[in-house]
Amino acid sequence: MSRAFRITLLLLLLAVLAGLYELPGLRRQLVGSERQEQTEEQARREVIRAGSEGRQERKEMVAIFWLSEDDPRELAAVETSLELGTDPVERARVALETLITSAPTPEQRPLPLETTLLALYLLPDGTVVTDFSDALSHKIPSGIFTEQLAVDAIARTLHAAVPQARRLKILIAGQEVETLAGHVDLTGAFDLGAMTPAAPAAAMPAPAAAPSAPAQMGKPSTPEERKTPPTPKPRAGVR
Amino acid sequence: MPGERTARTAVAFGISVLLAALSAAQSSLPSQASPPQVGPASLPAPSTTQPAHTAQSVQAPIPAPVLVILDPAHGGTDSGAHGGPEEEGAVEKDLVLTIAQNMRREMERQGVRVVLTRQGDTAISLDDRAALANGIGSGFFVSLHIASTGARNTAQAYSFGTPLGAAPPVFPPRALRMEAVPWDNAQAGYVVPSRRLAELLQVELAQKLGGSPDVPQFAQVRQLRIVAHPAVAIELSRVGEENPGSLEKTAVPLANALLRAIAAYRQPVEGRP
Repeated sequence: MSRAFRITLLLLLLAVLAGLYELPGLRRQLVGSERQEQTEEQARREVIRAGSEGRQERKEMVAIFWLSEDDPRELAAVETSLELGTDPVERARVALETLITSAPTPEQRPLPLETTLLALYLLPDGTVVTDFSDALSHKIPSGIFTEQLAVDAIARTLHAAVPQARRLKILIAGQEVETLAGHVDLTGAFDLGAMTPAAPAAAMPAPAAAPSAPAQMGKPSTPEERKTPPTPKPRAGVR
Repeated sequence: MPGERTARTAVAFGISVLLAALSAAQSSLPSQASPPQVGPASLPAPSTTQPAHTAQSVQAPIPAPVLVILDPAHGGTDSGAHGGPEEEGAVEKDLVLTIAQNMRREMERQGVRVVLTRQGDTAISLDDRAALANGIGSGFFVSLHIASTGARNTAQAYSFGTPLGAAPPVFPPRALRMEAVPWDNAQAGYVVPSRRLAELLQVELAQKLGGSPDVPQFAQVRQLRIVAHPAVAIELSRVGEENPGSLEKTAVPLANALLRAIAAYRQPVEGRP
């Protein structure tokens, strides 16, 4: 055996020994990493479970602004028990979908029942951008008064349900439009801070018939869901 | 040189053809595209005959020439409110045009100059209507609408502002010197005058059209926002009326209510210059 061959063989032997020495450490690292992943996944599941359990328990009374039963030319705050959660976007979505679909009577709807909330965003400056289907424009009874009532109902309901909301921007089918249906200006944003705060609501027990699963954003509610309004309690007119 | 003369003749002919084409193009432009002629010569002379509706005629004297810009809403493909399903029944665009034309006749009979933002069934954008109005030095802008809901033969006046519970923003009056005003804020300098006009008008409307509310409303009407005049919208109820003729009969009372409100608006107020 030549001298060079012996040196090469020795180096290979040393490399194998070093590898054998490192193997247990690598194995420990791999096992530890798997355990950590499991722990994080478990923690995430626990947080989600806790959140959803907490949300089920977090029904709260919130004012939804439908047309007054006594005077259809006014909005009236109706205290309604809803699962709003803590996420402001989710709160806004649930409140607005309730406004559209769950009026106590058809005559008290300020927005057409065919309206769908397509998307909703909350910007860092407190602007809530709402994107409604074009049914809001096409199905609303024509007139300055009806359009202004519709915008007021959206603005007041958002103001009551989402403390972070400062301004309201309304889009129709994803587009900025000049007017809602020929009258009320939608080119700008509505200042929710300019509204008179609603009177504090009387404490009401949570009604049993409150909707537990509001319609998903972008999907119209089923007729069955629309037939089951929450059990609201009227409050003073605000217009 | 014959060639040079031919070239000169050709150039002269070309220029004359160009001038003729320009002249033809100008004459074919719609009347709304150019600022309206509001001078006395361009308006029908006030009638000197005795008023036919003595009981309804305005008694309050109007101290100086008044110009009213009447805006019949909608038009063309935008029909506004419908009196029946789809295209059946009366439509808002036709009714407001008829009412505006009758109001114009009545007001001109009483010596008031009137400009309409549309003369026929044409689609005119909100910006074009405002451009027509804003090109006029001084006047009162009144946008006419008919709702599809509400108590029959009543009228509600609106001025621009937020109805959400807060007072409208108050801006200093527009200075007399020329200055640029953002289009979307054209009404900013007129929020208070418009509100005052709406209040005076609503009082008159409540008297002349029984059942109408006593107080005007604020509304964020796009058409009012971009007008640089004291501006109000009048919304009649309702286009679903079984007898549309009864709505058309409101034109004379509306004209008189408006003129009385303008006359009261122009009265000096104690403590106001």
